[in-house]
Amino acid sequence: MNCSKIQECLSAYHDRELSPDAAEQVAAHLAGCSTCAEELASFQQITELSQKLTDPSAPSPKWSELQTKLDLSAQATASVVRPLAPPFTGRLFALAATVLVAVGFWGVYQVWFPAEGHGHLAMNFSHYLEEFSERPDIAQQTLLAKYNGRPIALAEAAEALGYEPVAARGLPPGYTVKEVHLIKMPCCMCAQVICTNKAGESIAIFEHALDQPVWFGDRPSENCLCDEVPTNVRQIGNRLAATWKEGERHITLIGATDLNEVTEFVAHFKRTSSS
Amino acid sequence: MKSTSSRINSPHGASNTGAGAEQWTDQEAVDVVEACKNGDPLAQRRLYDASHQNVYRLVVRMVGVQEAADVTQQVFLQTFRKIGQFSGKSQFGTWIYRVAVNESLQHLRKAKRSQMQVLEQEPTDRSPDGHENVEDKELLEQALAQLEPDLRSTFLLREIDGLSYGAIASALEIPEGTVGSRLNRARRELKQYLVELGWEP
Repeated sequence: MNCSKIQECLSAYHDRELSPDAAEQVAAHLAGCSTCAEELASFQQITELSQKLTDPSAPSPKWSELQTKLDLSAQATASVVRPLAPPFTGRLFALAATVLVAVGFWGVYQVWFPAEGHGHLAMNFSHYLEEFSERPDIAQQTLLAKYNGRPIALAEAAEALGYEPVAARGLPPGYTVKEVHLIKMPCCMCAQVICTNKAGESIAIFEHALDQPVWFGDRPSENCLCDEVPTNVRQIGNRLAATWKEGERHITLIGATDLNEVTEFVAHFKRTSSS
Repeated sequence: MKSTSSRINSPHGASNTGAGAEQWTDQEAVDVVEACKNGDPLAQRRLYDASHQNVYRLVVRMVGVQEAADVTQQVFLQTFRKIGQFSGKSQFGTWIYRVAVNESLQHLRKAKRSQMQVLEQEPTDRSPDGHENVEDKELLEQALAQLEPDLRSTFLLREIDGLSYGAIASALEIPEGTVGSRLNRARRELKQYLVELGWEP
């Protein structure tokens, strides 16, 4: 083989991708050709240099963001899409209304989009919230029926879940646990706690075991710090929904009166979790 | 998958850093991919966690550090949308590289069309490692950024990810012979760029 032919298969020779016969012919040529041998040596140098490259440090994987995009993509093909509530407004901080708090929960999306099949990753509270703010009993019944929700004593929830729900360590002063449900969501078992405030108003609390986000659909939302914890807050009707991370889990509080009430829960759970 | 074990996204296991990828048996990999086809969120999360670093490593050298995170997310969006099309004839790792290269090339084409200046800066980890060839590594990153994208993707899949010519051909949907000729060109051009940058082997 002449130099031109050798050069054509020099990478394949270098990468040991040639057949034994072809490799032998190349080797024989290289033994007597300094030009081709030098070329091969430079390939080797570049390979050695490549092996010294360090992995670029990737930014933290943004799983939550990806989930939301996948869900939006799924939603685009949904057969049923309900109109969204009016946007979040500046009245946020001055609302007084029935309080519904929900802590940590996952997958309500499928209740309202049953025809979509699989692929819903982030928990979408959007439509559950709308229903819950107007007809909480029906919203609850639908949810519990869909996912075989069953009542459980708070003290027994830890064993069933494999972790102790934050609410088990007590609620902020003045709040009383009314009902606790275990709900078998597509991803895992989740806890839902309904409690009442001093005025006797209901609050639902959801907690999810995995590091996965809660999604309220594409409603306008605001990120704020509640007791220094990043919290995502949205207005639903005349109430608030808020979601934040407590340890490894996501907690969602639905129907709070105002941001002070959200902050009260965030601070309380932070304190009881760390104690 | 025929070998007894594999990295889900680096099927030949020849990454020179071995950073972060979860080691799965072939059966585990098959199970995870099948579960992803069924939309299992936990499986998707596992696959994402196991593959993210390797996909990012390829993408960052294809599109530059500024755009790499976004393009990497796009790669996974496409991966989960299209995973039903993965037939299992090739290794899944090869398939996801195909998605990564295609998304990167598409991004570069869009950027070129909109006259955007894609910053192809070296994504080298700048933490001092006490090695005297830190500078040479940076030169190689700069030289790589000058290679045309088709040559660069072929070179990266071979030298960084350690794919065989067959796997590269499958990932890039080109004949095996083209893999060799691209590598010839890539190595010659890299050497030229390196010398121009002051490299002294």
